[in-house]
Amino acid sequence: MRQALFVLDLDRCTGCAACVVACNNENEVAAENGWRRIHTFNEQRLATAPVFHFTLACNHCVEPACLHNCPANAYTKDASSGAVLLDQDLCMGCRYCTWVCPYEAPTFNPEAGVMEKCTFCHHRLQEDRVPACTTACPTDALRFERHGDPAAVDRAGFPETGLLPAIRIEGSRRQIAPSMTAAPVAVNVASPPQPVGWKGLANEWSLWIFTSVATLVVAWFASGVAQGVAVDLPVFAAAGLLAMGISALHLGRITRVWRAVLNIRRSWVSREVVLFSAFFTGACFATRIEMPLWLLWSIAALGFASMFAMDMVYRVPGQPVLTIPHSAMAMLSIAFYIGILTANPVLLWPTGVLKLVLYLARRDRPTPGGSLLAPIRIGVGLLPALTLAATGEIAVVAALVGAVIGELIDRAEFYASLRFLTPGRQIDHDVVQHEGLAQMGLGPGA
Amino acid sequence: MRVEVEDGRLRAIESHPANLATPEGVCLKGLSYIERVSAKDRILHPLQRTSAGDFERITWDAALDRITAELIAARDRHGPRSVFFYSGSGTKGLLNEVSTEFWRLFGGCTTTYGDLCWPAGLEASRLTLGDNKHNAPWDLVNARLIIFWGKNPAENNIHQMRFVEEAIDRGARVIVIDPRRTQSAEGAELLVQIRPGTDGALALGIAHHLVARRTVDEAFIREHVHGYEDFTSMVRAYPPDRVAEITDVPVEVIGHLADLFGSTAPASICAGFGMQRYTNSAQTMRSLIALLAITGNLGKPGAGWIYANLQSDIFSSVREPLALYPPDDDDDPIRVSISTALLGPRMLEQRDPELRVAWVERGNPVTQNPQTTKILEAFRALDFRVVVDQFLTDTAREADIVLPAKTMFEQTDVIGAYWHPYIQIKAKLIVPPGEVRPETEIFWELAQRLGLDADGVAAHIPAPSDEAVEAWLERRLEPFPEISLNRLRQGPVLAPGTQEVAWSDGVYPTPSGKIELLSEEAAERWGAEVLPTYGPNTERPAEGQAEAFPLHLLTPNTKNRIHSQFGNLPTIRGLEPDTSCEMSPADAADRGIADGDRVRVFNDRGSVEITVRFDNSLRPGCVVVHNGWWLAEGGGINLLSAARETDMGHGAAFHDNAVEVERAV
Repeated sequence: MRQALFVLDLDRCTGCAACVVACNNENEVAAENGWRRIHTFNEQRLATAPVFHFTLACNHCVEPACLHNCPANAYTKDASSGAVLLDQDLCMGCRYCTWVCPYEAPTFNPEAGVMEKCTFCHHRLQEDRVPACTTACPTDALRFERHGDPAAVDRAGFPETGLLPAIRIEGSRRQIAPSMTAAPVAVNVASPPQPVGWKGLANEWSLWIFTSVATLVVAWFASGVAQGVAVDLPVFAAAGLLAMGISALHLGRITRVWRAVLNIRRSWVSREVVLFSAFFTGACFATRIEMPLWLLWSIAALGFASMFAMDMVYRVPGQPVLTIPHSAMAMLSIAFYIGILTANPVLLWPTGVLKLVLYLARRDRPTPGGSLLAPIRIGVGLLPALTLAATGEIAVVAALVGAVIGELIDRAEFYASLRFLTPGRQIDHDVVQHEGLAQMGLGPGA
Repeated sequence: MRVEVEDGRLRAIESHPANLATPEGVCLKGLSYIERVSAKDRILHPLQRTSAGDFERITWDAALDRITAELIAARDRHGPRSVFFYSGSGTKGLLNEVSTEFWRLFGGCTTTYGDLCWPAGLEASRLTLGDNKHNAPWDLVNARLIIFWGKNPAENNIHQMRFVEEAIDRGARVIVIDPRRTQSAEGAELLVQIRPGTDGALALGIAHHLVARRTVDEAFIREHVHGYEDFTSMVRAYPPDRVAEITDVPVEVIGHLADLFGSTAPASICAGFGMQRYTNSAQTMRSLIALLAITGNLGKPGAGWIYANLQSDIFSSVREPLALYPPDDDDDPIRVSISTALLGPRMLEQRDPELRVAWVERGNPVTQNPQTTKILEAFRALDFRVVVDQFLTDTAREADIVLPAKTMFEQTDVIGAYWHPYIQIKAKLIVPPGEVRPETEIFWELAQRLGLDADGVAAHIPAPSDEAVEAWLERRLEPFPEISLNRLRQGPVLAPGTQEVAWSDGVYPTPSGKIELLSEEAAERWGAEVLPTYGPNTERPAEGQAEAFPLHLLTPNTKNRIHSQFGNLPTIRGLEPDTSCEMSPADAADRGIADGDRVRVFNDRGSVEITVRFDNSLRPGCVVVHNGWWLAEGGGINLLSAARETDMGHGAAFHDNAVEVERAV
């Protein structure tokens, strides 16, 4: 494998965006869907920090997270250049690559229903020409090398999650702010943290419904096995099929949903889909065919495994918000549900209390409504179940209905507060660090 | 630049390797021409205003017939000078001369003098040095001290940055003098955030030190400088504490700058255009050049006054700034009576005849000239308006007839430049889209309809064909044997006689033949002091005092646009989605304004409502709104600027602009 490389000189880059325009021109990309973007460090021009720019498209990583994690195997890595290429005919538009790529390289094209991204100007490389963005740079800040040796990048503002991005970042002069004669000294510059809204949930509502129903379905079956009671097939099957059907609605190309199972070797999405489908099929058969207990438990184990895979889907390196552990994570929820369904204090106490602690510990309640929902989530979702554990003097159905309401709220907040690493978030984080260091007299701007 | 065309469409734009000033890449505006040429909102057909106030498509015949009738009516009833011809700098090229020739054949017209852009600096340079030229762009790598004085090349002269970076690699030191922390300041060791409009005082304060410490170049002064003795007596009046008070630059920083000037050579001052848009700015620019003169930083590699390089302007019989001035007498049929800085009021004041008809091309005066309200009033007072443009700008929206304009790829022309010294061709590469016709064709058609003198038309206006245009250009190039269209097609040509190091011959075409720190002409022509003294500009909010309008409004350019052009393109809009007012959090806190608030920026001339964006490094007391956003886009910052000239050169003092900001309710 030969690996080409972008070289970016932070001293020379002025953030002019000629590379962005050149990319749009060359690849005939619509401006709003651009493959290359400028990410400015310290855009608010805090006096203690330097201002510099990362122009980033795809970094054609040696360990491309998009490729490894694509459930549909739509990505390949070109052997002659190391270019990470997306085959739009294979992409089902699940957008999972946008979660795992910290550089915002893949962008979703709503018209085509699939992703698109920088190709390293693969067509130009084949003609022995360099990428258009590097040709266009008026200051020679962005360059291209045919053979490179990608290494970890240690730069304030640059997301580094171990993917070996094929970009070398040069320049050091602009790591300190210029001395200024009139910059305000004692103004509180730290911008208040942006409140978490519900946009994340609006984007992922179909996954909210799928995960909420799937946890119930797995818990229902497992409780049945534990108690020697078979689940009711029509209701069980309807719930499972509906959940899976709704989950497919988030795809840009729903007819390619079958491709979701193709990358079981590396993708937690594929594993989740395969495991849940296997569990669901087995569970449905179990209602009609007499099975030994070990087989029933094996099917339940597939369900547990699918829930583990579900949690792992949301664990993405570098994300600023914890998804494991989270009070609405799937593994915890099924254990909690099984505790209720089997009225088992040994399961209920630890899971219920852990959920309560994790929920209370979380600070970023979505607005509006987060503060109103919290008492419901606890009062209706957790207290009846814990009462059941403590006294047994509450109907299982009542505890279950309350728990479902509570879990729906919690899982909704999970999606609302879902955050993945992006250059913008890395910059926001590091600018504040820069500022903090400087104020303590330790930073370069001091 | 080199352009790749595929199936009659622009496919790619790259830099031309033979232009040594721009070896790496084209700026984003140039690249965006691919989008611009085929933009959805480009005007492709003549348009006529309807009674409802919007525009409908009409045929060329209908448009030209109506224009012909209106021109004849105005000429017959009020005389040809009742027709106002306004042209901006939106498209450059020799063929622009055809417009003036047309109006001369028409019998005359009224037109403007002066310039919005840079004439105060041009005049300061001409008075001091005799002409406007500077070292070739690539010579800047030889500088050891580079002062960006009111200039932001990282945004507005991006190709200079390559040479700046190389100079830094070779050990040059960079200082930026600007109230704003611009992108250019990021590579500098020091940003001197001076009080706007006081740069002249700072220069004199530095000169005071240099003279007092005798760290001047006495040999150079003896040979090349006129008026040094008077200058030294004058700068005694600018001791550091007084200068610090005027400029708000700390005394020790003034001393530091003087140390640098006295000890670091060669030094170049790259001066910005914004700094010379004040009512005291030609004097400012003269005092800046004086610093270079007394330290011997002219006529040498790496040294110089990098302001305007008109060495490629070999075609004008009189170069700018003289070409911008009104004639001394009024015997030409073309009446040059309207200062473009005073466009609105002067249009309204014209008598014998009053203005009845306006023809606007290559410009968008409603957005870009000072004091928009007056300009709108003046345009709306006319009987009939024609605007030639590529897009429905604020000015085009005021027109009765809008005619589509070409882009640079749709008619062959020849251009010079004002930074690098090359003559270049803009070859016709594509057929104009839709029904677009180049201005020369429009004028040729009108000349036929108006029955203008056929010999005159044949001599001055090319017929509508590529061959006629090329023949016209070849005739224009005849005096220059080095240059022909065929030679230019091979690549850029250095203008004949170009000095890579300006003034290296020591010839300064001033009255004394020397660099004139003392200029009698400054006094005779402009009534200014013969020496470059400092005087306060007109609108000067005294900081910390209760005043109606206590903030300086700066309206600089951005990298994303050239004035009011390009902002309508989706790519550019993606880079800069809306217009905003940059403000120091300190000033915002005083007014109860939070980051992202909608605010009203206003003074007694007008007001705009706009979103605030905090700039934590902006000099308090200044607010910044980039110019160029159309009224139709929620912009129109020239609603606030005053129709007012600079002290010399008939420029526009845009930055003499005191305002207040309050939260919008």
